[in-house]
Amino acid sequence: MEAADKRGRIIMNYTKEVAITKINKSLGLYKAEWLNEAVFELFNEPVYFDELKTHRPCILIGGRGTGKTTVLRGLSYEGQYASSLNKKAQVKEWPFYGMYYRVNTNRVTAFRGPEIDEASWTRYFSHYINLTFCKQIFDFLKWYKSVTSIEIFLDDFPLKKICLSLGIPKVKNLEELAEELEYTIIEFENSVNSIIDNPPKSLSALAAPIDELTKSLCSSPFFKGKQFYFLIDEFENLEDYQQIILNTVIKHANTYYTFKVGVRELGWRQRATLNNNELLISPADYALISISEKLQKNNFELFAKKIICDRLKKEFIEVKDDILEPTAFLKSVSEKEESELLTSADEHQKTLQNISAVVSKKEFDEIKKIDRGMLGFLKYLSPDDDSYAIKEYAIKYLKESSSLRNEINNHFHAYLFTLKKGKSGVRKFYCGWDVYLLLANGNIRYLIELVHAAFVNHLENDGKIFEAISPKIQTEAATQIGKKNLSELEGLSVDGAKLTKLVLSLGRIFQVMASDGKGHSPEVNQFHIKSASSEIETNEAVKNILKQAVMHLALERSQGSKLLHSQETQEYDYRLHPIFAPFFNFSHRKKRKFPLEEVQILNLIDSPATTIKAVLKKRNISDDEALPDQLNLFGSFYAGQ
Amino acid sequence: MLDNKAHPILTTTYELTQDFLPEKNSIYIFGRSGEERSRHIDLFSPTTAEFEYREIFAENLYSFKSDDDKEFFLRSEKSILEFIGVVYPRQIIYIDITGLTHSVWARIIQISLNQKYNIKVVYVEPDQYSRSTAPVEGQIYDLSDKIQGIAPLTGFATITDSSENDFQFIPLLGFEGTRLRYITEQVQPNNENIIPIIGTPGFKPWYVFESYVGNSKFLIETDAWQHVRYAPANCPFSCFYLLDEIAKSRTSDRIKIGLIGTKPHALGAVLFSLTSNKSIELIHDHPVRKNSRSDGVARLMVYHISSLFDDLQPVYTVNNDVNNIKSTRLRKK
Repeated sequence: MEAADKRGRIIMNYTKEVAITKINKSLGLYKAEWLNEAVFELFNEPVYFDELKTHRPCILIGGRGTGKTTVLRGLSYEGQYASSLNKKAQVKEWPFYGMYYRVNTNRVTAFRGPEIDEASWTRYFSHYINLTFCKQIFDFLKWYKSVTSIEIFLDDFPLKKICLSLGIPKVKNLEELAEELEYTIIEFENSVNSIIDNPPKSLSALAAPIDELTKSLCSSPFFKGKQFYFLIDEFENLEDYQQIILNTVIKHANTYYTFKVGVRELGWRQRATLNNNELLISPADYALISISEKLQKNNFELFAKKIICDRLKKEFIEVKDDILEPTAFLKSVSEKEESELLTSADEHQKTLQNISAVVSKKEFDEIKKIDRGMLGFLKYLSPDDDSYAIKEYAIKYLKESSSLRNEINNHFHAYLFTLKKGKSGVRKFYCGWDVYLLLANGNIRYLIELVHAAFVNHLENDGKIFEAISPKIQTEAATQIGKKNLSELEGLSVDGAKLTKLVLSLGRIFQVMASDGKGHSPEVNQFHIKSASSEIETNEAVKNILKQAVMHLALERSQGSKLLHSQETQEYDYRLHPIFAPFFNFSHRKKRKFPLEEVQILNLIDSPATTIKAVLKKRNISDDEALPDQLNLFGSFYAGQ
Repeated sequence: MLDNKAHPILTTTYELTQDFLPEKNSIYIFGRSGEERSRHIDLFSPTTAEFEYREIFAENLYSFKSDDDKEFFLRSEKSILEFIGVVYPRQIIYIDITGLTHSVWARIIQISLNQKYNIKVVYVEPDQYSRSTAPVEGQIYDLSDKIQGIAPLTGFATITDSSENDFQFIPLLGFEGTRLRYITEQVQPNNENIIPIIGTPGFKPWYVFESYVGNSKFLIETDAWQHVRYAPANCPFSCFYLLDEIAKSRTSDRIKIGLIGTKPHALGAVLFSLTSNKSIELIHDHPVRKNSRSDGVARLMVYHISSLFDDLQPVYTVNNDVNNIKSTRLRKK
């Protein structure tokens, strides 16, 4: 089974099928939700993990796939137990006990409807929160007993107080209370389903039962000095008024429990509490943890490398660590090498032939020594491909190549996108660990998807596991993942179809701009809203679609230059998430921006063909260029049929 | 596919809609959507029709209106019973689900079964569905304008079970893979716990392939293609029996059913949720149907659903045992 690679390292020989199975097992399950119990085994603490283990409420903000669920589940008692390697004796020593709760849309939307006023829904939902969180504590107590064999009990007095706060008749012990609580929830469910005829009779005051229960438990010898964490995931699924209710509980939680909340960017829509004069404010009321800020370049790279290596190590236990380094198997190419790969020999010959007519033989012999990629770049710099201009650049380059440093810095990367304009096959390479990191843009799920796809494609093309994966295969994998995430957009939100169309339209614009870069600003891959529509309806529609696009990672936004009296949409610069760059073929590097009118955002969704044409025309670019191979599937969309 | 020879398929099929005439003195509840098939009621001659019409207008997730613009609320049993009106013993109530939204017909059926009314459900197949002109992957057919988002069917909300682990997910597949993906994104099932049900035979012989094509990404990504089960697309009873069989063969007490496919399948799921001892959660995304989503009119089916719950010779018993902690869907007295 063992074999040595070129560097003399011992690696295992696996059949293609075995290698693919192992890769699928280690990297194929990239959603925390799919991993079940394995999520705890594969859990890696991100740099901000300790910040979550404080007594204070924390709001963890991050896009889809940034690891919120994994982190929150890691904090749960099941997660802590797994990370302590199931050491039962340690459980009672833990400083906190976390209970994971995912906001289930199908549950929380049961508490809405025009036939009941919002004040009543607020009372009903508050009761639901009390019942739900109390039940979570009882579920935990059941687990605690099963692991530690410790029987938890409370005195009559606290027990009675908890019962009273929940509207439950007096019980003898906690087990009976847990059972009664289940019956109360069933009764409440029946009421919710026929709320007009049969409104709930006994409603608890917001957080009162949670206060009583946690206080009683933490005052007992069993949990003295401990704290309960409610780990709320997918906070964005709550209705606006429900967020206000949770905000109120977060603000006024007693010292015996606190909240760790996971929410998508822009998903925390309400900061208010039920008290009109109070808002939830950071840092007074909670610690705000932005995953993208915490996982800046270096942090993300280290975190990502550890995750990839640990996951691979789990399946390839006998393989040495240095072989598992992503930089070892994700081969990168320099811009210069890439230009060589993308420039055809015919094109190069044609350029030389044209130059030969305007230079001396001696000069020509020198020019012939210039790499074909670089010569192509000099042609790219020359207006109208004028042979005299190319000659001037070539002589300048040969004399002192550093004299063209600015041109190379500003335009060489943009030039790469023009080399295969209108041609089939790979038009631009996206390869190497650093490029993959930029494509993922801080999103660990995207990164795992990219590496997984690269491995699988490599193995399916008869590559050996952990051999360097070719730039072409890496590029194809990145294209495939861009397409996958584009097709998934439609299922992410109620506005998914609109988001897909917006991405398709913007992607085409950036793709055409990139391939037609000559004579235009290089690497235009951002936009900003130049003028807001005078129509409030349009303004609101655009605001909503841009928010949805950011929330579901179709777009990334960054603070733009603030204008006086600007609308909200004008305050930001937007770009397509770089994960889409390989699919459309535009630059994944955050560079220059161009203006769009507010109404054009809607038009790109509703009438893509004419709007794309108009946007490009304004920049003196024609949209006649043939679609890249991977976009052909959407031919009828772009044709506006 | 489940062997249904031992199970009654309580259906009368009419090859032509005009062959069907509601029984005398019955009540006929229906609504008209933009689809041609939902207007088959217009074929009834006013002179021969000896039954009472109850037309439903302005449906939404929570209420609807009658022809005199009176609003009726789905969260109120009294309100729905007022809409149905006085029902005499053995009087037949037809509920034509062809042009009604899931929220409305499911709730009317639930309340009617609670009352032990004699219910027959009517459904008209389309001749064909509209194909999408600008297909994005998973969107071959052009059936929905948009979705309103996940929300429980009114009257079917489940809040009793907050556990998100260990449940079986049974999506009833249609053509719209993107709707399935949206529902799956919300439900987040474990891959090994997914059993999709595909309607086959479909209304047309080739629809089974298009179900696979429309949902291929999901089926491949989750490996659920290995667990696909089949039930005739126009048969709620087959779907009902299949769900029952799946539920009995699994240890999990929790089942989530995604209502994406045909209305007869959704009807089977609704009936199953009303009778099962397990915790059944119906997941629906409330699509806003395109007026032009289908063309033409094909067969008309009458499903004798009350016969499933006949008091004298019950095939299944509506589970309204107040002491049974798991059965909570039907009204408790």
